[in-house]
Amino acid sequence: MSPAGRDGAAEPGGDAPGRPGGVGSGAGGAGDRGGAVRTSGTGAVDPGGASGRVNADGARGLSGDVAAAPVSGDAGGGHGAAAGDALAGPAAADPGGAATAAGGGAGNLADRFAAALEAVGGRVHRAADPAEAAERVRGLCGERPVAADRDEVLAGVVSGLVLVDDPWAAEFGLTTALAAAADTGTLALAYDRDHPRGTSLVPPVHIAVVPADRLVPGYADAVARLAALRPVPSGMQMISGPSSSGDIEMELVRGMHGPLALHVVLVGG
Amino acid sequence: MSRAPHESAALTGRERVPLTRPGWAAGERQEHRRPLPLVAAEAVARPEARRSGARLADRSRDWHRGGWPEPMAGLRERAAAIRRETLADLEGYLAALTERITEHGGTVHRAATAADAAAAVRRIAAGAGARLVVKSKSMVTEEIELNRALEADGVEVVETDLGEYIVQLGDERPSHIIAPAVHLGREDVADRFEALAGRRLDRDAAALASFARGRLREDFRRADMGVTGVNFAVAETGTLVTVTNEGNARMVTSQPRVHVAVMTLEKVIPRMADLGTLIPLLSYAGTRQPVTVYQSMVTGPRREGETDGPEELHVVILDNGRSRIARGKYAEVLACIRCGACQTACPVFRTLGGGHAYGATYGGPIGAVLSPLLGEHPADAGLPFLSSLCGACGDVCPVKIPLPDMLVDLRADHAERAAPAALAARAGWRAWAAAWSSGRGYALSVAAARLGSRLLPRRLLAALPGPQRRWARGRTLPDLREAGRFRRTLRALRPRREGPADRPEEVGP
Amino acid sequence: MSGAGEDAAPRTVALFASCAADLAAPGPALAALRVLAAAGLRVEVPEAQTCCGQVGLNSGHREPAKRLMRRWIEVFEPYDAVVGVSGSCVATVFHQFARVLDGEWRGRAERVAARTWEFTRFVHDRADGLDLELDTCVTWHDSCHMLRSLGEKSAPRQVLGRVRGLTLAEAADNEVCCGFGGTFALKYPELSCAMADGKLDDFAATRSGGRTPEQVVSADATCLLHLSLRAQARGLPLRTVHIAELLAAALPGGPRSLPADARDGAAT
Repeated sequence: MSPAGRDGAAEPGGDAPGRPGGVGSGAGGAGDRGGAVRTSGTGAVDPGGASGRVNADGARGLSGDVAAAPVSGDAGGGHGAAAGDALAGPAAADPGGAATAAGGGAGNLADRFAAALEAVGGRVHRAADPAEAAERVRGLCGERPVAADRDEVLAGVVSGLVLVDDPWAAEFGLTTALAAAADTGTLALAYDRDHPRGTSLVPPVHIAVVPADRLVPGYADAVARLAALRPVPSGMQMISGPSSSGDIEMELVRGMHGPLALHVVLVGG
Repeated sequence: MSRAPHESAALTGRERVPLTRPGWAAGERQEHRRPLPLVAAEAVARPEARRSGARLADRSRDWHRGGWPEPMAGLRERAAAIRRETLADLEGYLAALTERITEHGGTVHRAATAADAAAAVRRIAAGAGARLVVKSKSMVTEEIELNRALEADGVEVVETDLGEYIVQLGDERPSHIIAPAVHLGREDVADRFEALAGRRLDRDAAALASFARGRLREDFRRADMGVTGVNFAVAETGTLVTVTNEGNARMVTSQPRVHVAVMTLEKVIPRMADLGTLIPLLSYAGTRQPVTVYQSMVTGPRREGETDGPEELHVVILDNGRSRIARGKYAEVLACIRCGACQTACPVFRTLGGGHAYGATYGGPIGAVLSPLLGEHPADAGLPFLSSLCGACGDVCPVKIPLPDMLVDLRADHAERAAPAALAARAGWRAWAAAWSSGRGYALSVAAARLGSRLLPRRLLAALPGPQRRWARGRTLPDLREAGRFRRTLRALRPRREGPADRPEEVGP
Repeated sequence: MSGAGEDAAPRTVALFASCAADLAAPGPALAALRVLAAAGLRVEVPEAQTCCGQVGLNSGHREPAKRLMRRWIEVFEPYDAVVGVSGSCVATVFHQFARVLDGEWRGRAERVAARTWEFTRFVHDRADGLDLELDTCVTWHDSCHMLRSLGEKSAPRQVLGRVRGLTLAEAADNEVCCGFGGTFALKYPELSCAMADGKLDDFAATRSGGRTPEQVVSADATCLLHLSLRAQARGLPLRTVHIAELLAAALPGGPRSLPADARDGAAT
C-alpha cells in the first residue's frame, strides 16, 4: 500500500477505512472509504420514506383512476368506494389484528417480515390458524368480488367469499406464496394452471395467505426456493409491497400499475 | 367529438400535447448533430436543467457520500465477479440460454445489428397481426429505435412505464436509464397530462400517477403484443427477469397474447442463484431499495392448461457490436447492469439536466464509454471528453466498471484516430512532451508563459472568437505572470545543492 | 501505518512541485517547503522535475504523456520519499503510471509510487509536532483525485484539526467536483462554470457554529484557481487557499492570518 493512499489504515477509527490493493489497482475509490453508512435516502423510491400521505393518496388515486379510465367495463364501478378499508396502509389503525411480536425463531422471522413489508407499504396480519386467517380475509373482502388461486392453503379461506374467475372483474386477488423473505418482506410466487398471473396483479388489492413455516430469512433464500422448482415454472414472481413509482420528481408514489395495496396474512408459527 | 384514430386509449389526445423540448431531446435520435460543446452550453443555460440537476444532486448527496456500507460492499464484490465470469464465456452462456428458452417453447432471434433487431420485432408483430403494442421500460428498444420502426408499419406503441409514458407524450428520449423523465418537474408532467385529458388535473405526483394508471390500464387488456427489455437472462434455466416497481412489466408479460423480450447479449447470467446477489445490488444502486417491488421471471410462454400469459414468447438477442467489445480492452463495460447510479452521481450529467445533451441512446458516464464503442454515430466519439474525470461514476458503479479509466483511454483512442485537422494538435502534444522532457525546454516554456501573459492582455483573449472567448467570458483569467517565480525563489533561497536531482536532464523515451 | 520500512524516517525527501507551481501557482510548493522545514525535515527540490504528464494523458495524448511519466520516474526514484503538493498529480503517479506504462517502467512506477505521498497525508503522518495557530473559519474541498484515487478523506480534517483557533465548516457538497477538469474547462466552458457555481453556492450556504468560512481550502491549486477565478467573475467575496499555504501561515513566525487568494498569486 502506498503512503499516498493509506487513509484509515493508520486510523482505524477515522472516517476512511483504507484502500486495498496497490498501485495501479483498478476501481478502488470511495467504496474503500465507506465509513459513514447510510442505509436509506429521503424520498421518492426510498421505501423507508413511507408516509401516511402516500397511502392516503393511493386510496384516493384509485377512485380518480377509475373515473379517468376511458372504458373500464366490468370491474370499474365499485372499486373506489368499496375497497377503501383494504386499501388503508400501515399508517391506518387496525383494531383487529395488527402484527404483534411473538417469540421463537419463526416468530422472529415473522416480526422481521412484518417490519420489512410494512416499511414498503404492505400490511401484515397474524392468524393463529386457518380459521382465523379465513376470518381475517373475510373481514378485508366482505361481499366484494374476489379472484382466488386454487391452492390447498386457501381451501379453508375462500368459503364465504364472493368468487369470480376474471381478475379484471375482481376487487381482490387472493393467493398464497411459496416462500416469504423476512429481511425484505418479499413474497415468492410461481404460476401454473391453478395459479394464474392475473390474481396477484390485476385486482387493486392483493391478499396473500402465507403459512408462517414458509418464511425464510433473506431474499436470496426465497430465490433459492424458486430456483429449486422443477420443472421450471413458466412464470415466477417476487413481490415486495404494493406497486409504486418514483418517476415524477423522484417522489415515491404508492399504487401504480400493479395492486394499490398488499395484505399478507401469516398463518401459524 | 371526432372518432379517435388511436388504437391506444392512453395515447388518445396525444396530438394536443405541445412539444416543448429542444431538438437534441427528440424521441428520434438526430442524424445531424450540432457540436457537443454548443449543445452542452445550451443545455446548461436552461432553467429546467438547474431544477432537475438540483433534484439529482440532492439524491446523490443522500445516497453516495460515504461509499459502500456492508453488506452491500460484499454484494458488490460478488456481483462484479459474476458479471466478469459471464463475460469470460459469453457465447457459451448464450448457447445454453438459447437452448433452454427453445426447450420451454420460446423462439430466439439473434440480431447482429440494431436494424436487424427492429426488423425481427416488426416481423413478429406482422405475424401476430398486432395493432397495439404495450411496452415496459427498456433501453435496448431505444437503441434499436423500435417505436419508430413499428409505427412505420401502422402499429401503435404505448410506453407504460410512467416516466417513459411522460417522455413519449412529449416526443422525447428517456433522459436517465432508470428515471426517464428526470429532466422534468411535476408541472411539466401536469401540463402534458392536462393537454392530453383536455381538463384540469390535480398537480401532485400521486394524482398525476393515478391519472396515468387509469389511462394505461385499458391498453394492457387491449394490446395484442407486449414488448419488454430484460434485466437478466438466466442461462441455467432460460429464465428472463425484469425488475420494476410499477408492475407494468407484469402486465406486459401476462396480458397480451404475444410477448417479445428484447435483450442485448451481455444480459445473460449463469445461474438463478445469482439473482440473490444481483437483484438486491441493482435495487440498492438504482433506487436505494432493499429490493424493487417486482421481479418477474418468465420461462417460456404459457403452458397447457394455464389461463393467462402469452401464447408466444420471442426473445430477440441483440449484438450491435458487443461481441466485438467483449473481445477488446473495454470488455468490462458490458458488466453494466443499467442501474443508472453513474448518471445520478455524475456532476456533469446533473449540470446538463439529464442525458439528452449527450445525443446518444445512453448518456452520462456509462453512455460516454459505451456509445463510442457501439459506434451509433460518429459524434459519439467525442463523448469521453464530456466529463471532468472526477471519478464519481467509478465509485458508485455496483459492478466496479473502471469508467474513469475507460474515459481516459477512449480519449487516447480518439486522438489516435483523429482527423487530419487534429494532426496539428497531436504534433503540438508531442512537442510539449519533448520540450518538457528537457530542463531547458521546460524553463523556456515557463518563461514563454510569463511573457505571453504580459503581452496578451486578458481583455483581448476574452474578445477572441471561438472557444477561447467562451472560456474567458465566464471567469477572470489566470495570471501567468507568476510563471517562473517558483524556481527564482528557490535559487534565491539557497546555494545550488548537489544531489540526486542533478542527474543529466535529458531523459530519452 | 502500513508498508515495509515506512516507519523509519525517510532519509531523503523530494518535493514534487508540479507544473502548476512553475506556471501559475508557486505559493503552495514554497509554503510546503516552509512547513516541512518547520517539522525538521530536510526536503530537496529536484531541479530536473517538470510535469507528471496528467494533462496530456487526460487530453488523449498518451504517448507524449508517457514520455513525461518516464522522466518523472527517473527524476524522483532516487529518493526515499516524494511529497507532492497537488493531490491530482500524486494520484496520477499513484494510479495512472503503472496502469499506462509498459515493461520495466511499470515496476519502477509501482516502486516509486509506493514512496510517494500527498502533502497533507505526509504532514499528518510525519510532521505531527508542528505548532499551528490561526484564527479563522474555513471549508475543505475534497478534490476529486485526492478523494477517489488516493482515497484520502481524513488527513486534511485531522491536520486542520491541529490548528488552534481554526474552525472547519463542512460544506454539504464537499465531495462534488469543482468543474475544472483540465482541458474540460476549455472545451466545455459554460458547463465548467455552472459546476463551479454549484460549488460556490454550496460554500456560501456553509456554516459552522454561526461562522461562515472565509476561505476554501484544498490540496489542489488548479481546483482552487478555477473556483477563485469564477468567484471573482461573479463578484463573490469567497477566497481560496492551498492547505500548505494555510499551514505555513499558521506557523510560529508566520503571519498567523490567512494568506492572499490563489488568484493573486500566493504571498510568500
